[in-house]
Amino acid sequence: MDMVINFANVSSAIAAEQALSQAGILAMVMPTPSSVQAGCGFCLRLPPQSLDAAIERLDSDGVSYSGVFSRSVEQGGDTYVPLGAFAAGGV
Amino acid sequence: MKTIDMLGQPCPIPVINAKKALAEPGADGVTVLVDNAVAVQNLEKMAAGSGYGFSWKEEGAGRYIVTIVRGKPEGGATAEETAQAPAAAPVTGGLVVLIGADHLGEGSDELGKMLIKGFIFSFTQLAQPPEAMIFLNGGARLTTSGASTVPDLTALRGMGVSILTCGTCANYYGITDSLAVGAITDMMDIVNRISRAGRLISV
Repeated sequence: MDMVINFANVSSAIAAEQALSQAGILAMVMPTPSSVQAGCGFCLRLPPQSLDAAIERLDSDGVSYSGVFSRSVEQGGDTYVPLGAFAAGGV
Repeated sequence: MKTIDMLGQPCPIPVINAKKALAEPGADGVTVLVDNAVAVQNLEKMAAGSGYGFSWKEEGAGRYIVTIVRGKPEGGATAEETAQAPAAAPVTGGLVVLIGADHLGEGSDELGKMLIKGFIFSFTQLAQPPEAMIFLNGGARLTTSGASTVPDLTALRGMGVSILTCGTCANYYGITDSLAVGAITDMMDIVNRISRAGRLISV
C-alpha cells in the first residue's frame, strides 16, 4: 500500500516534489487518477512511513495539497481511500 | 584467430567490427582489444545473442582482451541454449518505448520532468506492458540512482520489461556506475530491438 498526496493544481505538485526531493524524501510522481479527482494533474506517491515527514515538510514550506489517499493495488484497478485526517490539509 | 584493435573506438564500433570479423569466411572467432568495461559488456551481449562463446580478461588499466568464439564456449552457454538462440531477427510484435530525454515534450522543462515521471508510472498500469523501454541521452538520468523513476522502472522490470540505458549516454553524463535499474546497452542492440518491434513509441 502507498500513500498518495493530491494537489489542487500542477504548480503545487511541482513545488511539493521539489520540496520533498530537497528534504531527501522519495516521492514518485503519478497522474492523478480519475477516481481521485476529475481532470488532469499530478499526485505524489510515497511509502506510508514517509507520509508524516512529507506532510510536515509541505506544511513548513507552505505548499498546499488537497488531500491524502491510501492506494491499494488490486486486480482490476487500484483503490484509493481518502484519509480524513488530511482532508483539509495544507496551507 | 584474428585480433582487432578497438582501443579508443566509440560504441558501437567494436561490436560492429567484431561481427564483421566473425562473419568472414572460415572465421572461428575473434579477439577484440577494447579500453572500457561497457564495450566488454556490449560484446558479451552480442556474443550471447548469437550463441557464441565469450571470455575476457583485463590486462592493465583500461585495456581489456575479449575473446569470442563460434560454437560451445567453455563454461558458457550449453549446446541447448545455443540452439535456442535466435538465428535471425524476427519481428516480435512487442511494444518498445524509446525515451530520449529526462522530460516529456517541449515547452516547460519543469513540467516536462513531472510529465515523464507520470508517463513512466502509467506503463505500470498497463495489462500488457512494453517489451522494452530504452533510455537515451538525458533519458539515461531516469535509470540511475537518485532518480524518483527508479521504483516504477524496477516494478516494470519485475513485469518482464527490459530496461535498457544507452552506454554512450551514461558514459557522457558520467553516470555509468550509478545505474540503478536494468542494464547498459549499445546502439546496435537498440537498433536491433526497434527494428524487431511490432510497435514503437518514441518520446
